[in-house]
Amino acid sequence: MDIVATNQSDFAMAEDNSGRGLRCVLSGRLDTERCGRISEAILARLQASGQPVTFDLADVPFVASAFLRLCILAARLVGSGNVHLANTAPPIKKVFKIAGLDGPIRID
Amino acid sequence: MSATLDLTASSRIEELSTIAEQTAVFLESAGCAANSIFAIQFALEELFSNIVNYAFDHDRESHSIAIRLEHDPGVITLMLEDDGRTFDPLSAPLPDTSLPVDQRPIGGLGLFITQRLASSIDYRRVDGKNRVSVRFVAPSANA
Repeated sequence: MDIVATNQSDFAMAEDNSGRGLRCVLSGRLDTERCGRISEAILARLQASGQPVTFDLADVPFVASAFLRLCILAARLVGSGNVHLANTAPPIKKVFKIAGLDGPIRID
Repeated sequence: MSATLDLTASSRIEELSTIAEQTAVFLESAGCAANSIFAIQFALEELFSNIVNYAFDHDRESHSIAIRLEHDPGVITLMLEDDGRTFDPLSAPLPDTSLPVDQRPIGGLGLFITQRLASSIDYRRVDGKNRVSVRFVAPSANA
């Protein structure tokens, strides 16, 4: 992955070198406070690009509902089916499934 | 054997990271499975942030939120108590999870998921305070 555009302490976002849009690498707990801090910058980048996005959650052990809201807003910007969660821990998959978001958002 | 963790936090969202660390230590020492720790911390996060965001008017940081975790054999009970405006989380409207994402209301998911992750939830208004109890049955790694 070539990180060229946005690289902040809270996340890194770059063109995915597979040509499938943007890849946003997150790490640590995505709790209410943290999502409040990063959402605006992530959504601004998605709005500017309009490209599909993959959130890489390999190093994310916990999400609050604020992250689900971020994913809903991201799907509104880039289109349902164009938001992908990669390397998702089973408890996180479960909350997306309960929320009925495992269809509009691809989760691996 | 029973064990209890009592915490008191000011009504600030920034308190949650410290609370999460302290509750994780307690739940791990109680032998809870990782998915149960996730569920209990999810419930705590959503209920606490709901109080911070909606229970008070302009002086929220002067209010305290009491948190208790009780571990009894096979059961963890999470309790939160605040002196904010009356709010029964069980009365919150349920989101329609079948709607397309562009038609979904943004709010309501946290309490909805909390209800689905928990074994039961009880709400009472006691002495001018909201008291929410959330039970998680069989949270142990060996259950």
